[in-house]
Amino acid sequence: MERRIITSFFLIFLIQPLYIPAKEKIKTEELDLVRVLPAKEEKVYFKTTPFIAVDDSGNVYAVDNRVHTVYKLDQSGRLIQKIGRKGQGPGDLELPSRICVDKDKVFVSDNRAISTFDIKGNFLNRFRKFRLITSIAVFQNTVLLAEPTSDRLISAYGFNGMKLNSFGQKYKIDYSIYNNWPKDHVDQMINRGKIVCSENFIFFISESFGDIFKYNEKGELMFMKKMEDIDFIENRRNLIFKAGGEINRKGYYVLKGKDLGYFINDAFYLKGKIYLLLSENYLLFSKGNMSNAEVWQIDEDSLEIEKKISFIITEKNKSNKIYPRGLAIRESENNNLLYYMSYYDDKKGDFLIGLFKKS
Amino acid sequence: MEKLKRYLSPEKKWQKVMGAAFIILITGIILNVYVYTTDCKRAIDKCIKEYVKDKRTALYIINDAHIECRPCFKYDELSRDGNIDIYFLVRKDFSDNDIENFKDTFGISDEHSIERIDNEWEKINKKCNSGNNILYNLLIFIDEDGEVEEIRKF
Repeated sequence: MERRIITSFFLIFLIQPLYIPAKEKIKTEELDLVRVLPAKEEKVYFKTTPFIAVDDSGNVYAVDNRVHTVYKLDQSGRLIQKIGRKGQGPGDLELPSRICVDKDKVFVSDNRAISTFDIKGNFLNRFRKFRLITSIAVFQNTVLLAEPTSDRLISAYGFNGMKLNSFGQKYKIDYSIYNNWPKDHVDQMINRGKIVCSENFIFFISESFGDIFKYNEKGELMFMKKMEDIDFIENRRNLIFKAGGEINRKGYYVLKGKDLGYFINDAFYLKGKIYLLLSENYLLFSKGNMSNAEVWQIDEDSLEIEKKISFIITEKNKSNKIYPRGLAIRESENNNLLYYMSYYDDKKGDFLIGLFKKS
Repeated sequence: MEKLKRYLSPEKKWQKVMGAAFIILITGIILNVYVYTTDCKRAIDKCIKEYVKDKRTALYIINDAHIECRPCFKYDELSRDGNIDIYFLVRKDFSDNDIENFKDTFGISDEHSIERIDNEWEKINKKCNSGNNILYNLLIFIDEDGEVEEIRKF
């Protein structure tokens, strides 16, 4: 009897791993480059890698920081118009950086303001900003700004610039491990992130760690998904939260260890999925090369990674380095997803926008 | 005669002309800088009556401010000093919301008034910033007797 019991336990012990459901494997997908924008015959050359946005008609908006303007391109890459020009007056732009298109409005942040244009490029209004912003999004008739040096991660403004509220707890950090760094400087590094919105929720994605915070319309935290088991991120967490920083002999603010850089460069939301555009730093760290870009597709509810999508840019046997910057996605008339990504091609020396889709 | 010829030789002549031009250029620059600064100060002197109280005054003219890289120079220090009145003049195109956000971002106390710049001050602002590529903000210190003590650009 005793022997039977022991044998049964032994058998159960042997069999039980079979009953543990295997962790669902993350799918992978490869996308091919369909074309690059702007079209060659347009003779439009970006002077920096632009952040981008798309409207419902498939027009692409690219912010060129060094030309102080927004290029509006049609689907084939033809230049439709330039929005804004260098200056400080209403409708002018100075070092524009972030962009967001919501229905019939285009929101552009520059050095000193958030300017709103209609889809035809007519200036509507602007309000001033007094902080660094790392992302701009529109949610239920409010403009959301990611302000890393503010008390909260996200600030909500009316279209007229009236501050409505702010929410999102910043990362807790021991500032004393950053010898003589200004507090703002530490905040800028740790709390910067991208904002994307669904119909009912707001998502903040940390640029440093890829953590995703999900807020409801009142700004209450609903769910938080920490990006784990990724060496790159663990490395960065240790560096930022434990090692800290110092000022080197040349007077630069440096971390006390090898800084791997930011984890994500941009994020986009479409139909229940969040897409993270991974940085060149991560590509170099994880794959040892930067020849193709990578986007992770994340489910809006579980905030789990569902799919890893590779953007194949470089032809085989070539070794171009790709520095991705901006991401925008839209659904075509045939319900196919079209992915737009801006990048710098090291070998060609060009700043481009690639249109990718599944072949 | 020989000496005069040597003195007027093409080589020497060229050197002299260049020397004279250089001196004129330097003098011009010094004069320009002097005129601009004194003009700026003189223009401010004419307009500060309403800000002259029996106390020292700090008057900020704000063209553009950014908490990380263009903060309100010395505001924290000055706002702790009870013996100084502080006023802000911001650009005309600041909306009410901009003023409110400015106040909120920089923690400007309700005691310190923020107004939009008028035409007179706008001229002064331009005068004090002429020759600069960017519009600097100005911090003007006025003493108890209504004299401009110092003008700081930031």
